[in-house]
Amino acid sequence: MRRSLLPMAGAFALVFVAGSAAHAQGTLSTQGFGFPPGQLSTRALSTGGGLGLFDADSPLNPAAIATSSDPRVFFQYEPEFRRLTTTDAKANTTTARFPLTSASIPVGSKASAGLSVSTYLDRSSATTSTREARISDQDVTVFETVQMLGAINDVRLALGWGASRKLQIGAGAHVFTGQNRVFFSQTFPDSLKFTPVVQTTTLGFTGFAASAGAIVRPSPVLALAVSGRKGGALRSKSNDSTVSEANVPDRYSAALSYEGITGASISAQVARETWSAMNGLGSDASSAVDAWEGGLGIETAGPRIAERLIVFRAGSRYRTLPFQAAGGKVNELSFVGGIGAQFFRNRAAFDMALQYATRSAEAASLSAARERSFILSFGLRVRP
Amino acid sequence: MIVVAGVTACTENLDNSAGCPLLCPDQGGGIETVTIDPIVLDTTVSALAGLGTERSLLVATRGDTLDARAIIRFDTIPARYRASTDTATTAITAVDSVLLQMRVDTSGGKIPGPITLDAYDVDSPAADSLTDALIALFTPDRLIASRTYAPAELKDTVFFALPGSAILQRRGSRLRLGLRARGQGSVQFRIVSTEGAAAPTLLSFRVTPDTAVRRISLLPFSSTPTDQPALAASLDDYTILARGTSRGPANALNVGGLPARRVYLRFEIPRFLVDSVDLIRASLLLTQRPNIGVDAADTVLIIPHVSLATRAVTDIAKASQITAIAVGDTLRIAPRDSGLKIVEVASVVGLWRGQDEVEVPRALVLLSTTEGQSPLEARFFSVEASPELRPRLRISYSTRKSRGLP
Repeated sequence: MRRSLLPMAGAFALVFVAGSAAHAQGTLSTQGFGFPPGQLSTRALSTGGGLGLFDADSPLNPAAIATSSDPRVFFQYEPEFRRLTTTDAKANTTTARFPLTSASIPVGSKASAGLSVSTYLDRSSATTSTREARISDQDVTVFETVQMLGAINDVRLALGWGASRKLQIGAGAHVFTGQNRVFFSQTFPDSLKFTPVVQTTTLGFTGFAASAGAIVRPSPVLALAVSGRKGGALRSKSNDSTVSEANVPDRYSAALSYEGITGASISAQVARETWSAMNGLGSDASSAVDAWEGGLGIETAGPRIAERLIVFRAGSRYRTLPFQAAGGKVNELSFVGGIGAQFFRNRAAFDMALQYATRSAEAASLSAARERSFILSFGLRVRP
Repeated sequence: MIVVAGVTACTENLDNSAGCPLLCPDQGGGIETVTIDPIVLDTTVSALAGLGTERSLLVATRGDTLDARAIIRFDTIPARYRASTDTATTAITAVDSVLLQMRVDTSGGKIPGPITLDAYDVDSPAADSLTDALIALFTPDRLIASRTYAPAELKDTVFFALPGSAILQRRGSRLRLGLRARGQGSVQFRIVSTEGAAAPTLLSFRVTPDTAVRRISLLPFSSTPTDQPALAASLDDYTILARGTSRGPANALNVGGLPARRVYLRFEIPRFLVDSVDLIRASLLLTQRPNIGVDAADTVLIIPHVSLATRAVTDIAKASQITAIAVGDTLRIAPRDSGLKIVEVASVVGLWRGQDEVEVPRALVLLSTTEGQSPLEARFFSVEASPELRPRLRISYSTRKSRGLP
């Protein structure tokens, strides 16, 4: 127990403190305000997001927490190994991300309240460049580094109520908060003549939204879920000054889960997110577009190993990323597989997933650019 | 393997420059360079460093161009001594083996051949500030001793023998020596002063043939002026000029020479260049005018100091003394050179950012690293010259102003 829980306990603390980790710009997926990890738990991610609206750990549908009969906490670690290939260069990055943590407690016999912190847009990145410049009548090599750290995070307080065995409903209040810290440096080989430039900019975000959702089970083998989030104002601030203002994107989604096969469930989801509501928050060069997302997956019981039931999951997801690259949309297709098991008299559950994603841009100038990434996802759910 | 990969991912590598510049637009920083005429006041002032504050004593006899002499004071010549085994003291009645030990520095010196060093008695009741009165004391009747050194002997530590009478006649009084050098042609070297090293000069002598009694050793010491102990300490040893180097043109900026001179430059720089931009380079552009005087081909090192004097100090000469070193750049030039010379002063401009310009004028002081110890003098055009020759400031700065938005 100690061996498996302690590292995760540390990670859990980190999630509450930081809320997110990093991702690199200079890539297709981290344009604008960054990459959206998806707000999916490891389990939901493993099914292509199909279980996302039914999953109490994923902060997408407040109705999903209604059936949590015990207090529970969940935290997730999700490193990503990315490779960007262009016509004449390629680069590998490694990003450690803690994209989601959540907790819920039962309220009475039919309701639960939950608090979650998830990474909404992760902007962390770094680029370096070397160029020749003429400064003070002298040709000089200039080394430039731009590093961005931080994210916009979604803090959700939700209440779910199980009206009957066939209906769950819920509502949530969201605060979007976080920081982007931009570090820029220019250095020169001759430190006597030239003084390095170091600029640090911190951008803070504050936004609000409300969400509601429902899960309907018209039959024992079929479940339907719908969820919607209505975004309010989203502001960026530097110190005490408002730098820009836009809106939190709206999100509407629906999902279907079929459990007619013994020991298995097949699920699918579709979502629409109005990312264009964020236009105006950044500069004109940062253009967000409304995007569709769809995915499907399967979760099935596997063999028992050491008296523990192993669950297998597989899925696929297709989505358009929110921010354009070189004026064109960026699309992502991913395939994912995962396993899960329960421990300690089913009071702890551990999920793992491996996702392979390919991303491409519609812009003609980026026709040769390809981004491939492997995302590992580790989720630990504990019922104290 | 998955777990291992997950753990290794804790070490992030975020650098992804392969997609640049297409995928990372507007990330670089532009650089602008402007050359301005910000100097509103420039002038040559006396170094006013204070008599005796130099780190070495210049001894030079250069015909019509320079005559510098060293003064070393021993104002505590004892009248009695105490043997180490005796509690009583004994009057000094005999003195021999009197040696003046000095450390010489011949770098940048002129040692054409054998050099004769003359020691004069320059004790005078005249005020300490009256150096001309001391010059008048270098007369044959005051000559105490002379010694001729071969060039090979004039290095590191040298010993100068004095007659025992020089001590005996001044028991309980003071011995003030004036040193002058002469030789075949121009002569110049330096003696390390008490400001330049710990105990570089020592006067020692025997008061008895008994070798069990140690030699009496005296360090330079000045007992006057009695009411200014700090000044008295500086006057333990010092240089006086019988003839200084020729002064540069009145409308030029002259750095160095003897007596030493400095240049004071006051700036008025557009506020945004000091307060708002990220400075990359700041260069003071000076146009040198040739000085074909003493040692015109030798190298003089000029460093810029930042003036810390407030506006309450209205005397520019005094404001030029209240300075601090702010840059690591040193201008190396020969006095005979001409043309554009550049001094990097970015750190000074950075310092000005934290200064209240209303309280402390933004000013630089140019001085020689061997101020008061070398005759070398560099000369520059002032703001009175034509625009292309005036001192100017060239500033390069970053134009990047990011608010952090993508």
